[in-house]
Parts: sequence; C-alpha cells; structure tokens
Amino acid sequence: MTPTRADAAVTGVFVPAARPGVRAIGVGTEAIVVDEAVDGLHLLNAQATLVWACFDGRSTLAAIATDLADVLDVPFERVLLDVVAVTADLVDQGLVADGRAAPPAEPVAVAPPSMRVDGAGTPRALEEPPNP
Amino acid sequence: MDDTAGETGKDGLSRRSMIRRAAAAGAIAWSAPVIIDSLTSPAAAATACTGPCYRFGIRAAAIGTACPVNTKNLTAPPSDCQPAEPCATPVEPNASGGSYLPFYGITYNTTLSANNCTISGSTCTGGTATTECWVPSGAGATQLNVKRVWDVNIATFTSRIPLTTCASPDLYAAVAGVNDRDNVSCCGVSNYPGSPYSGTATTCQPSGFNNSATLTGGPSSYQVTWIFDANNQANASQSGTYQFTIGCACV
Repeated sequence: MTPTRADAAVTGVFVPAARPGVRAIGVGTEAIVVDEAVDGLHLLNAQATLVWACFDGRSTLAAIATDLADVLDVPFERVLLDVVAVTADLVDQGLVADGRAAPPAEPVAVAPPSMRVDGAGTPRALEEPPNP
Repeated sequence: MDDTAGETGKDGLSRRSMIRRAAAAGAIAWSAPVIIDSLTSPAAAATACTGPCYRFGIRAAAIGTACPVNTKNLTAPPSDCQPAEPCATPVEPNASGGSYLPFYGITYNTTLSANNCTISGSTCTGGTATTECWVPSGAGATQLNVKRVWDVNIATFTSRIPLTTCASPDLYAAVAGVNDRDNVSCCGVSNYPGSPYSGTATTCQPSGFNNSATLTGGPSSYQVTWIFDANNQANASQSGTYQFTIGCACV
C-alpha cells in the first residue's frame, strides 16, 4: 500500500498532542472530539477514546502502545499498528499534531458524564414545532 | 508490571493505571480504535438559525430486524431557505443508522436495558439512582404516575452549533424508537409516538402509550431524558435501541 495523507508521518516515534481548540467529551465509553476551529464533531469508539486519553504531548505512540498492550494483554505489534492508524486519521482530521514540533496543548481530559452538562441544567418540556 | 510504569499525568495517575481503570470500567476488549463518524459545520458558527430554514424530522432507520419507523418525513428545505448551506437536504437513513441533521444537530443511537428500575413514590428502588433510575423531577415530575424513567446519560449531546440562538419551539429534542420490542410487528406503520412532535400513535402500541423527551443543560451540551409514563407499565420489558436527535429547526 502506498502511504498517503498522514500515514507516512505518523510512526511509533510520533508524539501526539491535541491541537489547540480541540477537546474530547466522554459519552459513555466513547467520546466526541470537538474541533472548535471548524465546528467539527468526531465520534470515537471506546478504543480510540482510550488512545486519545493517552495523548499527553510527551509520550510517543510506541510508549502508549506498549502500555496498552501490556495492560490489555494484546500483542504490541497489533496495538501499535492500530494506534498509528487511528492517530493518522486524527492528524488527517486536524485534531492532533506532533508534539515534537511545537509545545503541546494542555492535555484535555475526558470529562465524566456527571460533568458534561453545561449551564443551569433545568429540564424543560419540549414543545411541538408546527407541522409543515 | 506495576502501575508506576509509564508516563504519569498531572493528576498523579499513571497511564497504565488509567488504562486499567478504563478497561475495568468499560469492559474494553481491544479492537481497532476508529473515528466512528465525523460531522463538520463550516457555516454553523456564524449563521445557524438566523433565517428561515427547514423543519426537520426523524426517519428512523430499521436496525436489525426492526421495522422502519417514521416520526415525520424529512422535509427538503424551502426554496428561499437561508442560509443555504445549513439547509441542505437531510441525509436519508440507511440500514446502519438513522438520519442526520446536517449542520444543526447530531443523532445518536443508544440501547436501553429492560427493567432498569422501578420508582415508588420518591424512592428509586433497583438499579442505580444516577445511571438507571431517576426520581421524577423537573418536566418529568409534572407527568402523572411516572413509573419508569430512564436517564439516558449516554445520550448526552454536545454541539458546537449555537443552539442558544434558537428559541423554543425551534430547539427541541426528538426521540424515535428503533428496534423497539413493541414495534417489531408494526411494519408499515408510519408514525411512532417516540418523538414529541410525531403526531399519530401507532395502532400496535398500547392505548395511551406515551413518552416524552426533555432537554437538560445547555448551551453547548444537552442531556436528553426519555420518560415513559404510567401507561407503559404493561411494557415492563421495554428495551431496544432508541435514536435520539437534538436539533435546531428554524421555520
């Protein structure tokens, strides 16, 4: 396969860091990554959410994959390939940059569900819109 | 391997500990990490809901063997719809999911478990008060004889779309049932009473079947709660996959 897009740039030595203005919000075991710059929403599956949570702007993908592989008891090679692939996708989407190139953004934690509701939080009944 | 290995975050929690904790909490088995879906709204930040736009509806797709259910057919934008881009024709659902509301909202499918909890008076018994069972409050408490309440906290939507610019009734949540146990035999029935604006009840649902959706939160994050009322007591095992949509309709 010919490497395209970010595939060629993202390897085990890549140091992922969330771009400024990008944050993740937990939705159960999954997460929605919000890109404020373009009003983008990206839904991550549980595994990608876990990978995202490991992005601290200091660790390489290889180090992250090592920990994931050890803790989850999965072959390192498989985890590394998966982590590199999803990171390349995240880079393509403009959500992640290489922390080696610039000071990383502050790591953005995935907020627990209880912290995800903004504002006053007052429930209100929904009104029916007019019929067409 | 001990927990001190690996990088340590600002909160003192090592990455390995965090992974272990996440795995334990979410029962995560390793499979390929992926971006499930992406939605980008290039025009939403500046112009959403400032002009006439289209009404949206949910046309919930059949998932598995369930019947297609329509709450209201998707409506193409009127010819004078402005701004044009957010008023693009909604995407029709397919077998893998429901409709999206381009630029104005997101749709999320979730699954509710049966018999989560029972509510007696103000006491929630069974289940977990914070995740499975809610003591009626707010809008839900105004309903008589609320017996079953699911706090669908997985359906917490976050939108960067400035929904605060939309005033009721332009801002609302809708709930559509897909793969609902009681709807399985209802192929061909066009309306489903899962949406607060769906209209006609299906003939196959028990008489008086009713539920409603409420929105909590804002301005950028909303929680949708679906409430079954007393008329649904007969459906003690309500379960299935439900589709929640929060959106902004400018009409």
